[in-house]
Amino acid sequence: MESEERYGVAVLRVLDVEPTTASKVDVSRAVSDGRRRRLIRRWTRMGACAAVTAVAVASVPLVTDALSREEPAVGGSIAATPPPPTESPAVTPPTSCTVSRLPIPGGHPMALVTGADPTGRLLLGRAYPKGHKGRYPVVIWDNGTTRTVDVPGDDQSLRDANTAGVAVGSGWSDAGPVPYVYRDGKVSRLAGVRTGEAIAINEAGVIVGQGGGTPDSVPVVWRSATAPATYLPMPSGWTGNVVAVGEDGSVLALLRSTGKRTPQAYLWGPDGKGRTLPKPSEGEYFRPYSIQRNVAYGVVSSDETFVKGGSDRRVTPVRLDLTTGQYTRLPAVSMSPSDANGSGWLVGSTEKGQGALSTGNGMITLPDLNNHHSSTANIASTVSEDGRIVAGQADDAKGVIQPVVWTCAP
Amino acid sequence: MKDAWEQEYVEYVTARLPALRRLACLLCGDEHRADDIVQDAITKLYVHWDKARAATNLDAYARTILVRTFVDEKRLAWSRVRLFASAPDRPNTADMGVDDRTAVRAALSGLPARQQAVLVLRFLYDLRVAEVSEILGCSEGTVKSQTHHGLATLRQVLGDRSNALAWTE
Repeated sequence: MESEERYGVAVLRVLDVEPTTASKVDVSRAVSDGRRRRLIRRWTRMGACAAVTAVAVASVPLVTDALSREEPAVGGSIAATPPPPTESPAVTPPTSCTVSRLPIPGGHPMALVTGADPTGRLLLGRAYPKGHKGRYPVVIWDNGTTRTVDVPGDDQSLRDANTAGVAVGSGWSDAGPVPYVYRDGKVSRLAGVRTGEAIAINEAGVIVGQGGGTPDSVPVVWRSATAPATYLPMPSGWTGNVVAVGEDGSVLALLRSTGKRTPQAYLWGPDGKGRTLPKPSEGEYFRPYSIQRNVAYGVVSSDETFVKGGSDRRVTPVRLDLTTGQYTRLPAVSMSPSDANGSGWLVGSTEKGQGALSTGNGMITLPDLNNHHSSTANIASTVSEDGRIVAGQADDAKGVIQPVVWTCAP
Repeated sequence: MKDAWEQEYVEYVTARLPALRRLACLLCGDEHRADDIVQDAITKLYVHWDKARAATNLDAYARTILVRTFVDEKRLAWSRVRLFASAPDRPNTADMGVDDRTAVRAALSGLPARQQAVLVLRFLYDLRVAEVSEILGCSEGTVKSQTHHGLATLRQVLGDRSNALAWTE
């Protein structure tokens, strides 16, 4: 984590300047407002909420098992016998959706969706207990039933699942993130890396993610829930994050290299051999979200905007034919994408705070749960393969984040 | 009695105002908004002055109130940790001639409030993970994960610019 700290100090220090304008803070107004609040507090006997007590935080000894000390091997094929490519039935893009709130177990006030299986039958999320200190009950919504899962650590989340109900994610230990897999009702640590995160799983049970921590995370693959991690081979000095795993075992990632101005999309085939994906054009880079049957889907963004720290309010969805290297551009949409399904349909939110779904033929805005008063009021996070189930989060009337599902129809 | 109590508060706050305002500016990046945050925080400090003056570390107490005021103000944005990791909501800085400070500030302000607070407290105030966890009322693990996610997003958003900054030590 040392390099992480150096990076943080180096970047943040440019902000270290003194204020240049005169203060408008009024101490006498604070006194008069404070007097009034004290009176109200006394009358209503409300409890103190901002009191801080010195809490001795016990340090948890670092637990490392024998496996986690091993350095992962590099390379090897990802899928032993890639399944034959199958044509999914063509799906009709939805045109209208209705929103409903998902129940939160345990009576907690707030929860959100963090992932789903390809059908949308299983939705993954986490609840925020009142007064939580960064530890969350992880929630699985399974076609109407709800259960909680105890993933060890802090800031836990399950990010993806397959239709067999195997889910992957991570929790934070003292040493950094720890990758976990949930199956048959049990949570187990994925083997072979000291720290890392599991990001995606395919139907065959191949799990992908990254080992290490920022800024030096590197893509890894677990060929099964019990197999140790293997590094995916890539050019020396490159780092980056895995984005998705295809049904044939192909792995998509977005990598960084010291010689490049912008992130580089990268692909490993089922044989484990990696290659850089072509640039959409000079001055643009490809941000992938999903892969299916030799096509990668994502959006193109401008190099210039990236380097200058800006963001694109309008994105151009693209499909990249991985055999020919040809990009097909789809009509641009005004949304910030969160994820895409295997047809490349993007979900996310608009600048105004509405949920959004783009099926390559324009964008539909999803109905609010209650309002879109803030730019984060409604966020669609996942979309099923058939586009019928979109899930995410939405503010209720009090501005509290609720887990929601949008059910869509053609 | 009340007069002395209040006088003590006024003297303390007046003396600490520049430091509190500086922290608020570093947190939110806007001096006018910083004034609002400080105003709200010192009002809360007045309300809790009995407890505050008895605290072993009054400065830490005041700082905690200020940071939590900042975080609470943007409470709802914090779920953006993951969702906006690749495209944070932030002012457009794509204008020509944008300097490093503007770019870093724009990237930082796109992060959820708690991540912003963690990065500022750890890397500008050089506070230890345990201190930051007490200020934010969360566990040390959360401080570490928020640091990790925040830096990952900054790196993603700033690209080469931040690499150049990190290498000019």
